[in-house]
Amino acid sequence: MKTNEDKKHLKLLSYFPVLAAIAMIVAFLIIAINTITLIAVVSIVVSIICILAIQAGARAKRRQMKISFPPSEIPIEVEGKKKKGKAKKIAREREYATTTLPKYLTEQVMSLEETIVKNLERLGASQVYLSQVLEGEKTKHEIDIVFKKEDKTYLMEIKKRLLVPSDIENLSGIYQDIVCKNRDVQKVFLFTTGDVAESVRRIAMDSGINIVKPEDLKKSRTILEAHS
Amino acid sequence: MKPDHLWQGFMWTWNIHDLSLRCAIDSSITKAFRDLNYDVRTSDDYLSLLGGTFSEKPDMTHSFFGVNGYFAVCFKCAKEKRGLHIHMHASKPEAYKDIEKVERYVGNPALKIASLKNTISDLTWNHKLTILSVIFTLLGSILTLTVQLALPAPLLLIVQSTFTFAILLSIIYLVTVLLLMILRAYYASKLIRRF
Repeated sequence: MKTNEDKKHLKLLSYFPVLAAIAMIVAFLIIAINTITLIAVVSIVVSIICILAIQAGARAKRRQMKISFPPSEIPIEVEGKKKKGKAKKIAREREYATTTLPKYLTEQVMSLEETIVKNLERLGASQVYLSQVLEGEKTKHEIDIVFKKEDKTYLMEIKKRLLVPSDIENLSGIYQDIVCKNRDVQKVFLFTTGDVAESVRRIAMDSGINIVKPEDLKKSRTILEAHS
Repeated sequence: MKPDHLWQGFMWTWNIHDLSLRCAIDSSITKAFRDLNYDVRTSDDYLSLLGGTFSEKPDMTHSFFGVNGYFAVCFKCAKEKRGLHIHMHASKPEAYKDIEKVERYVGNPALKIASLKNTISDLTWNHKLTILSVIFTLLGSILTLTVQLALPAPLLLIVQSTFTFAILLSIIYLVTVLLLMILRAYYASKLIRRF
């Protein structure tokens, strides 16, 4: 914990560049008649503007990246409107990301499983079960979603938070236990609405766990085709 | 049904939003339990060990089984919805000592990293001030070294001393930020070396 004394020192130290800036500006003003100084002043102003512009750009990009979980009806509509132009599609997706998605995530988060089921059915999955108990070699496991496609069984766990490495290790252990008794289990998916670190993605890849983000369900090439 | 206690030693992780740090903390917890000779099992192993039924399925990751007791890492359950905590079933009183050890093992470097990260971001205003300071230091040095100023002697002295003052302040600031960043990297390496 930072004490008040520490905070005071910290605040004082953060004034240093500001003081340096003021000192430099004073110095520049005194020798303003010098052309090189004027160029230097201009270059500083330009560089500050550049920094601000880059940061504004990065902020906008970050905002744009905070996309997007489709309620089941949205992707179908988007796919249908393809012929009417890319701009319309982008506008629709943007509207979705700014209005529909936040509303969806806050108000309807309880129906997340149902939304995934609807999307899986749209992507060709049959016999979708929620909270299915499967017998493993050592113990019983309650899996969030179990579904079938072309006689192959797939498992899906849902995490409404960012993923950590132990999520993958846990799911991998569950899969190993289940597959001993259920040979038709083909793949395990880990659905998350949160962020996924690169290290976690790597562990998942090594363990054969397929991480599914909300936007993956929206893609025309289904996650099932991609992984089978 | 076997008794299931909550260990709240990891409450400090609830305020950490940094993705990589949270992953490092999680991996460090696993490594710490492994070092104490605990066997890593699935969350369902722990739940089946307790027996009974749960009204709400706990959002657990994996569990650890050892001679002193059984532990499971949980993020959200009916008892605690706020964030990372540990469920434990102690077979021996030593189980409490073990979990305290794990908490210290993970908490010391992780808390220092989190605190240094906040300090650096407060101090540098998310590195905006660092960039500004570098620009001023470079331009100030170039101007002081290369430009011959046609100014009267007293004015020239003021200008030169102001330049020197500005450059010195910038350098002190940059060195401080650099030292803090090195310290943060040191603790990060300490935390990451554990898994």
